[in-house]
Amino acid sequence: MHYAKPLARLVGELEKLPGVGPKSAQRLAFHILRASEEEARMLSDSIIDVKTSISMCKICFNFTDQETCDICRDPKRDRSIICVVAEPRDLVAMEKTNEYHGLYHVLQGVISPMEGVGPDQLKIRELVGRLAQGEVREIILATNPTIEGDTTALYISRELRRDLPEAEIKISRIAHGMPVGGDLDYADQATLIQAMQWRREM
Amino acid sequence: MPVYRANAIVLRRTNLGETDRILTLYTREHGRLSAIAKGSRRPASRLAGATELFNFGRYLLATGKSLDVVTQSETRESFPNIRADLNRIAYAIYIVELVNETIEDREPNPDLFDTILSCMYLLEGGVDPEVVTRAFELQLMAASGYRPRLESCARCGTPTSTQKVNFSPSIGGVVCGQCGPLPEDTMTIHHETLDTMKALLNAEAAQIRDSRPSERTLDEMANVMRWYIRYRLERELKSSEFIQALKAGR
Repeated sequence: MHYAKPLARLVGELEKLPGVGPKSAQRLAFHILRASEEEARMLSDSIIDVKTSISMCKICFNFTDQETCDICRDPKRDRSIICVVAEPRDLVAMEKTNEYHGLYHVLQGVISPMEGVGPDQLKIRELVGRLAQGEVREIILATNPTIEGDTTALYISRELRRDLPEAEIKISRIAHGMPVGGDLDYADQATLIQAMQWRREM
Repeated sequence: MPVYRANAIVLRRTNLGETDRILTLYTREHGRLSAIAKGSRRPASRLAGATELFNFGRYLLATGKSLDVVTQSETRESFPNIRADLNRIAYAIYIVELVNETIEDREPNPDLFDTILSCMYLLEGGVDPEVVTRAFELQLMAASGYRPRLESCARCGTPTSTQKVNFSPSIGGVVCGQCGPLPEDTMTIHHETLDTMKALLNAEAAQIRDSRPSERTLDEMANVMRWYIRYRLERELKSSEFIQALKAGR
C-alpha cells in the first residue's frame, strides 16, 4: 500500500461496504479527502447517528428513531388493516404508492430453510400478538412471490388460522402476475399461471 | 464464448449485486454447475421465473471466465402445486438441499437427474411428501455409493429374519447382534419398516405413489434416514430443521 496510514484505513473501511471494490473504495476515499471538513464531518456524524439513534419500532418492527415509528403513531392511519412485509425497504416501496393507508408489520426477513432461517427468527409471534388484540380485520401478506416469500405467507396464514381460530380476520396476499410493461411472449410458466389465477373481472 | 444447452433443475440461488443471481443448477448433461443470471431480479426480467428454486427447464449457457452465464431459459415445469403447499415446499427444499450437499460439480448422472425430477413430479401430484422424500433419500444414497445394506447383516451377512431388526448408520445397514457388540448408534426398527425401505430403494414412480406405509413405519424410516444421512454428510441439513418445526406445530 502506497497510501499514508489514515488514508489506507479509510480505503480499507470503505472496501467493506457491499458492492464496493478496491478501485471504488479508492475513488470514494479521495473524494472524501478533497471534500471540505464540514462535509466529511456530516458524513461521519450521520453514520454514528444511525447507529446510535435507530432502533426497531416496538409495534411494527420498522426502523425508527423513537419508541414507535411515524406510521404507528399517525392517527389518520386505518388501524383495522395490517400489511405484512419482509423488510423495511419493502415498506418504503409500498408507501411510495400512496395507495395504502393502513398499518404495517415488518417481519425482518423471510423463512429460508436452506439458509437456516426459521419462523422463530422472524417477528411472526409478535404479529400474532398484535392480531390477538382484536382491532385488526384484515392482513395483507406482501411477501415476494419467491419460494421463501410463498413459504413465509403460507406459514403465517397457517399460524393465524390455528392460533386465532375465532378471530374474523381476512387474510389476503398481494396479487402476482404480469409486471407492468411486461411481455406475454417472454413470461415464464409460473408467472402466467399466477396471472390467470389472480385475474379479475373488468 | 462457447454456448451449450442443458436440461436443469435449480438447486440453489444467491443474490449478487443489485439485480443478478448466481444459480446452482443440476443439469442432466453436465452435472452440477454454477451460472450467473444477469438482471434476473428485475421485475420484467426474461430470466426471473427460470431462476426460482426447483424450477425445471432448458437453459442456454455461455462458458465464462470463472462462472458460466445463463443467456436464455425456457421453463418446462415450475411446480405450482408444490409452491402452494407449505408441507410440500418444505420437503422439496429439503430434497434440493440434500442433492446439493451430496454431489460434486460437473459429474453428470442422468439417472439421478431423472430420479430428482420424478420425485418433484410426485410431490407436485400430491403424493405423501414424506414417502417421496424417504424413497428419494434411499435412492440418492445408493446413487452416491452409500446404499444401505438391508437384506442381511452388514457385518457378517446373516440374513435378517427376526420381527425387530437393528439398524446402525455407522455400520451402514442392519446388524444382527450375533457377530459382535451392537454399535452405539444402533436403532431398533420393525421388520415392516425394513421391508418398506427395501421396496422404496428400488421403487419406480408408480410404486412410490402407491406405497402406503403406516404412521409407525414412516416415523421409524424418518429417524433411520435422518441419522444415516447425518452420518454420511457429517452434519444435519438446515432445511430438515424447518420440517421438524412444521411437524412439531402440527
